[in-house]
Amino acid sequence: MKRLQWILVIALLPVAASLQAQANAIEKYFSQYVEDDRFSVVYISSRLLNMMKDADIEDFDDEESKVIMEIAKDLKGLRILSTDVTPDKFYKEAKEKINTSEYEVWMTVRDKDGDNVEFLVKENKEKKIEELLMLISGDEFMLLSFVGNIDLDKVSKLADEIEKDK
Amino acid sequence: MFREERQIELPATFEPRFMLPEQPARSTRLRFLRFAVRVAAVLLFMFGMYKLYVPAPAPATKESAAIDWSKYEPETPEEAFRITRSAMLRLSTEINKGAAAAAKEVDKINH
Repeated sequence: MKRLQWILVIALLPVAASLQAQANAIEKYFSQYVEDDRFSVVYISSRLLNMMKDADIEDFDDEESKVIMEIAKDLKGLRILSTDVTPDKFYKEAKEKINTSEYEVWMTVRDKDGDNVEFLVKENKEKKIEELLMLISGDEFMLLSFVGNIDLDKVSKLADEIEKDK
Repeated sequence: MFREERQIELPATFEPRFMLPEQPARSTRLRFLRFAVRVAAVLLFMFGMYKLYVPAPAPATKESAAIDWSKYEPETPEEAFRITRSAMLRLSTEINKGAAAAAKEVDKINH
């Protein structure tokens, strides 16, 4: 019986190890595009997100900025990959590449101009969002990866602030 | 030759184990086989669970080893804020757009 327990433990090790591996979607599925000249890449690290709080930024005191900082404080990183070369092709490719057993399709939006936006979320064991992906196709292809605890209530509050300013 | 030895009687308490035909190690082999089948079944089960719950690895790419993300960081917090701000505004706007479209569709169904 003890031997059987050891076998189970050994067999479970690779599973546990793979679950432990935390990587963002861009690194996982699109790393070949990061060095590709057709793509623009931006990375905002948690260090930079923290630095933003202390920086003396113009218009930082408006409500919109405050909400942005509220959301940003729970972020661990933001990665943006974009290109205006064959955006529809890359959008389709991205949808095929992303493993939907890991990233759940949260919302798909398609407007009358044919622009597509798809939101995918990856949840942790506590059912909290740990990564939110936004895939956009239109004039350009964009993939935004928000890593960290994303509070969607705060995000919608931001939309309200934009509406107020209009 | 050995006449004396032939006349020796065995005591009643003698257990003639060594006189029995040699038993093949069948039971040991069977036990091992049973154990091996159990191990194989456990491994098969684990493999099945692994395939079922652990996402398939991303297609291998040459650069997947390590990306130096620091190369793509903005140089100042101001620039980082500007980018973060536009990313979040886009996120928020698209979520709103989606929610509004969904609400409109639900309204159509209700009326």
